[in-house]
Amino acid sequence: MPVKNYNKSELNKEMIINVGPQHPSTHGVLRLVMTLNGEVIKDTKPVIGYLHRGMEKLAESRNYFQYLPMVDRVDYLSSFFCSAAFCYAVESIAELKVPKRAEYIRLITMEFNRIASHLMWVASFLLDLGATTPMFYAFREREDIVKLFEDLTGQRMMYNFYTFGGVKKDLPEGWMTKALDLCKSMPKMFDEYEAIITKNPIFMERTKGVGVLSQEMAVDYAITGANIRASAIDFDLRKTNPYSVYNEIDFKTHLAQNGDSYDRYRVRIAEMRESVKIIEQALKQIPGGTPEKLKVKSVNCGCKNEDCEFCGFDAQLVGKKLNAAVFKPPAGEAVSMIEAPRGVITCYVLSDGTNKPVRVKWRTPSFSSVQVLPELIKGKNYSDLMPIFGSLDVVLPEVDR
Amino acid sequence: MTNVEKTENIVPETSNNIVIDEKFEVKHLDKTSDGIEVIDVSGDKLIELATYLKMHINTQFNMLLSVSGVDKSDCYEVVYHLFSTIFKKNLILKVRLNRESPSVESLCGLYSAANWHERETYDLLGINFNNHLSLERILLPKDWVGHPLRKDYVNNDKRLSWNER
Repeated sequence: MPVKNYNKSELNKEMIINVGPQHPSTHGVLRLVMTLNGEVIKDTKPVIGYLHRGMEKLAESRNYFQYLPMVDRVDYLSSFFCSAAFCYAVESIAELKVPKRAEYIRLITMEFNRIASHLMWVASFLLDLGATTPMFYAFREREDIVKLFEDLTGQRMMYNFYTFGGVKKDLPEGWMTKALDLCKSMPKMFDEYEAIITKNPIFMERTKGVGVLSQEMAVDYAITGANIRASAIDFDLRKTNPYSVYNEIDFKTHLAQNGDSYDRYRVRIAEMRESVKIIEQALKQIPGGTPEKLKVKSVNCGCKNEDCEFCGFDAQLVGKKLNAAVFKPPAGEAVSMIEAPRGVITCYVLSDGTNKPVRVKWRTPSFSSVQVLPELIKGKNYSDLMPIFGSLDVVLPEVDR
Repeated sequence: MTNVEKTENIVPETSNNIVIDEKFEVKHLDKTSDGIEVIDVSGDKLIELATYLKMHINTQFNMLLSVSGVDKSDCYEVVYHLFSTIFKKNLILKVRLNRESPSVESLCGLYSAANWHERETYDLLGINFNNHLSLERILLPKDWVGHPLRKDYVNNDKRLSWNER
């Protein structure tokens, strides 16, 4: 068979290829319509909406307590953050006070959830790059955290644990020692990842200087979370606009200077280490102490004093018991902002005084991350797509809601 | 970013800011339950006000977190959530639109983030954003009829079975 002689104009032709919607490394169902010139990406058009479940429409026909379990499904990897965002918004409309003990339990579970989510990200990111081993390491710890959640809530993924004004259950007996043990062992585990990943020449070659997100672009596209902190913008809501009891806890925000994929990896690893410290502090500071002691002491105390250490308001789990059938917050609106693993989740709730919300609007961080993707991969090789897209930590159910 | 750090880190309370009140004819609505300021502005002055708030050295609302539409019974409302990464402050802008032909100027030129958020608002509420780069559906399929988050929306799609409508 004669070999066809290609002339130059034929070789420079642009080609349109279609990545997804079902693709192993798009972390869900995302479709990218790409225009390639040889190996170089000229233009990208993301097509989203394959996972749209109408979360905002569903809120119209359900009352607040019926909508609460659905909220967990906005982002399945960080369910606690989504339900926290909704709870804080409704609490500020209804002016419900949350007891300190409940806030601490929320904080501990949220930080554990952040570690679990980041571990999942490490696993999938390295898998995108072709490294299979870190996945098994990461899932080992994730399993421990998920087991803790299973003890606490009875679920491994969609926890449905928070309620308006507090949390549904106290920590089970022995949970705090298990959590402390895990906190002690976890930094060593992170050292293990860093030993395989951080200085790995192949990993550094593929991620250093790739997908640089400049400060202007990050702010312009409203990128939040670890992605913006990798571009040296100090924007961490836990520090700047503290929401739960983060103002009582001493922790640092970690920044990186270059804004490339490698820095986004480093920020996330540092954040996991910081989360461990936060949890250790919170377990020490939690009002009432361990659940076993608290139970005995609150029974024996019985003083009915508001500021008692063992039976007062701050040692309770729910500030005010609500009747799910007749719960009607007053007319008003509230915006809650939560620093989730992927960025800022805002939940805008508008109430008109009936038992159903008029409007619930979710602002999810991955939505912005997908939007900035075409800018980041313009003019790069096709092989750079996954190091860049994977490093943004996109979860598709969160994009489509 | 360097010259920004030299300025004083003080945001004057916009509710006491006479410049904004007179120049852009805004109304200050009640604060939200968690204490975020809400400013009501007419659709014609929106771009000017947003530019002022983004560029002015004492406000610098440089991030558009989200755009959401609300169907009130007598009008449509577009709610802009602004954030300043320098002063860590929130602000909400509200624009009221009439029910017959809801349309407002797009903020695409000012914030790139507005592009997709406005497309989403158009998709779910049918609010037209003038001078938008490509105003088309984003979450729903292209051939979808109607805008689901409108309160008078009825789904009559023949492709769905009776219990899905």
